[in-house]
Amino acid sequence: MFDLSPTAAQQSAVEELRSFRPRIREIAREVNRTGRLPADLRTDLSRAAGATPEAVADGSSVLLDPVGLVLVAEELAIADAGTALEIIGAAQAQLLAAALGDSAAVERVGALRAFGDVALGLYEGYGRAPSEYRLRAERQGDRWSLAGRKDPVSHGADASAVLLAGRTDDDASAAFLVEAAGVQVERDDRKEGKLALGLVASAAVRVDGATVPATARIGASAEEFTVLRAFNTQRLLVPAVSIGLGQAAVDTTAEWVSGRKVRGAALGRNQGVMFPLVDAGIALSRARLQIWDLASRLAEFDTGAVLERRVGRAVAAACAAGTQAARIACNTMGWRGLSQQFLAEARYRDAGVLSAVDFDVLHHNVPVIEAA
Amino acid sequence: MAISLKPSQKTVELVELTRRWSLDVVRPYAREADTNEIYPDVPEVIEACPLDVAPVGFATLRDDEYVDRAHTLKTDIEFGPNVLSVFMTEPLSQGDSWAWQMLHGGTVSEDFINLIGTPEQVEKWCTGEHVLTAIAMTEDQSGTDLAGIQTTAVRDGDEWVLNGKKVFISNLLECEWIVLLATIDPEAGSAGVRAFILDRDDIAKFDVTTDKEDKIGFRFIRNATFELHDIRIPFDRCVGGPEAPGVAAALGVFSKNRATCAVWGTSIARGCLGFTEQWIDERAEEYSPARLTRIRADFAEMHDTLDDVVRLALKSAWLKDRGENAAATACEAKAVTPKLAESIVLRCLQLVGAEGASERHLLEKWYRDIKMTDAMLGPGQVQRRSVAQMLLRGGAGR
Repeated sequence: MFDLSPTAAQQSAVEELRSFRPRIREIAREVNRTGRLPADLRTDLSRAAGATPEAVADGSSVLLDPVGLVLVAEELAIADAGTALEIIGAAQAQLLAAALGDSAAVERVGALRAFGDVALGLYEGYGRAPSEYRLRAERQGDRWSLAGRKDPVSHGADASAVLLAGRTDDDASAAFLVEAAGVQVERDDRKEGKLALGLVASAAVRVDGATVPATARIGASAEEFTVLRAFNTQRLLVPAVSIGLGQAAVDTTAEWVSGRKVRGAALGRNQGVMFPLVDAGIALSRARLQIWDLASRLAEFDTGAVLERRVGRAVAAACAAGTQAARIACNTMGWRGLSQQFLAEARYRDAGVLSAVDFDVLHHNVPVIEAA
Repeated sequence: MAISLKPSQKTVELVELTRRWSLDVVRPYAREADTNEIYPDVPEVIEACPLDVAPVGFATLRDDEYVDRAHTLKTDIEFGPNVLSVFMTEPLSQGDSWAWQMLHGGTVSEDFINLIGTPEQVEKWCTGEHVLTAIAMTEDQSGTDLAGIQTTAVRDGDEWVLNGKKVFISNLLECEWIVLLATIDPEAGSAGVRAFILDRDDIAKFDVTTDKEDKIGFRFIRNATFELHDIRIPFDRCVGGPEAPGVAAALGVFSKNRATCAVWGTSIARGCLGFTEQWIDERAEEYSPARLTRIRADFAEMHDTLDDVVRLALKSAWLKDRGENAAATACEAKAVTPKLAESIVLRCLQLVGAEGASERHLLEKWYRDIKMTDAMLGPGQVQRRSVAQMLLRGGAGR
């Protein structure tokens, strides 16, 4: 039935995370420069977000519900996109195992998390939806041989294990838990540097015929649509973070223009200044409601194709709204929008990275058409 | 509680019944309504509507009144009446827009009285058999800006004396009574504005200078311009009485109506899409595979885009049902929907080609009609200005 109220647990998580917003913002630039989040803050945020191994294992995590995941991700991203990705990203492999109904794997991944990150190898770039993933698993007796490339993978270069999403030789969607030793790092963004989101240790990884035991396949008994849904659910993190950073851009810019005086009047009294900001806010509202609707009815789509079209469209809308908001914020604040004294330019860079992570040409217009 | 944007099964069924009514019963009279520039005289069309009440009137129904002919009480609705109103507006104009305004509660005049009228006024004017009503707000110099209203109401003993001029007033000559906004204190801006009820005898005394504005679309709605010269009405016709907080308190009806007005536009666009999809399907062999694939993908995207903006309207309605401030979201919905709906209707016109511009089909009519939805209750610029003001005050956003 139609209702836009979050559950009590979701509301409580969002409110607790909101209380951390000032502290996260205060150190956002520093943590994304150094790639290190203070341990106490990481612990507090992981607990509040339901991202701990224990919360996922005992079923109490709000992130297990796709709606909870997008609400928590947006709230954290309003404070800092990198922090949102780092905190929730750490739980994604375990969340995926839970969505596949594999309780043993949930425990296993949870136990591994005590020794370091378990990375989730989902994306392949170049506009591939999960049903089109090219990472292949070939059955060889009682083992699987894996071959393919994943990019980007958070903590792909330093995780203790990677959960790889791909397809089997009989064309079924499947996930395999592979120890770090079986995975080659093709690009380590920590070493090479990247545009933004430095807190997220992204990497490109490759498996070239590595073999793993049959037990490495997570959720082996899950139906095809269940697996596809589980993969696509984790794709909602990026758009939710985009919406959050875009909302932060709109809110902080609105606050700035209401105080900034130009020729004796508040800058915000100028409609030429405000209308683009309003439009950015509306685009965020539309994208948010689209993703809420999608998250609340992921189980209802009757085919994987419909599901993936919906998710692809939501990703595109949210990332477009996030980049639009970040761009308008920079423009509106003039030189201050470009200066590293403020977070506007950081959000612009964050939005660019996010919009490239899960880009699909099928869901984006050619930019020159929109710009014209 | 949990976030869900799904309508109930009961609502889904009522939406489909209403959509079929609009397509099968209303649409056949659409050209006649446009050509004759008046509602067709076919009461059986209105009687066949699954709804008892126009969706914009749901919120002001009493608890013991029905929303549909299946006798669903207002209190039976699983969610609030404003949310139901948005869900039910979506199918209403898919056949054509002319008929739903004839339904009970189709204008905001009853809303004004229900919201700020005295119990006696509600009893006298808003109960009993349905009659067509109208509202006179717009003036030449100030549009719908309440603070700029120059029509005056001066008390003279047990009467009010009205003088001024109103423009673009819908249904003036067809309605049984009208709510007219005038100021009792020209120095007080919007705080001085009150609503007054005038019946047919009063309307007969108006100096009507234009009985039917020639306009691009919605020609079935006649818009009149008239002047009032010392029109006298009884003292008890001031809605809520002169000491009431003024009509500004009732302006919430417009934030609700902005959402339904936005969805009026999506409904027209959805009807265009349905017509054009069928037209293309019947000629599928005439298109190259690449073009047919592109067209079908475009149809899917256009439907999804309409869903996006309907969600904004639903959110506004949901906030309204909860007694929260819905103004910013309503303005957001109204700001973006007409432009999107216009672009969809234009694309449908293009897809059908030159024949789409011919009066053989209704596409050319809908292309004219959809333009009207932008100006109604303020165009996109006005909505953005309102959102901007709220954003600066911290009252917009999530």
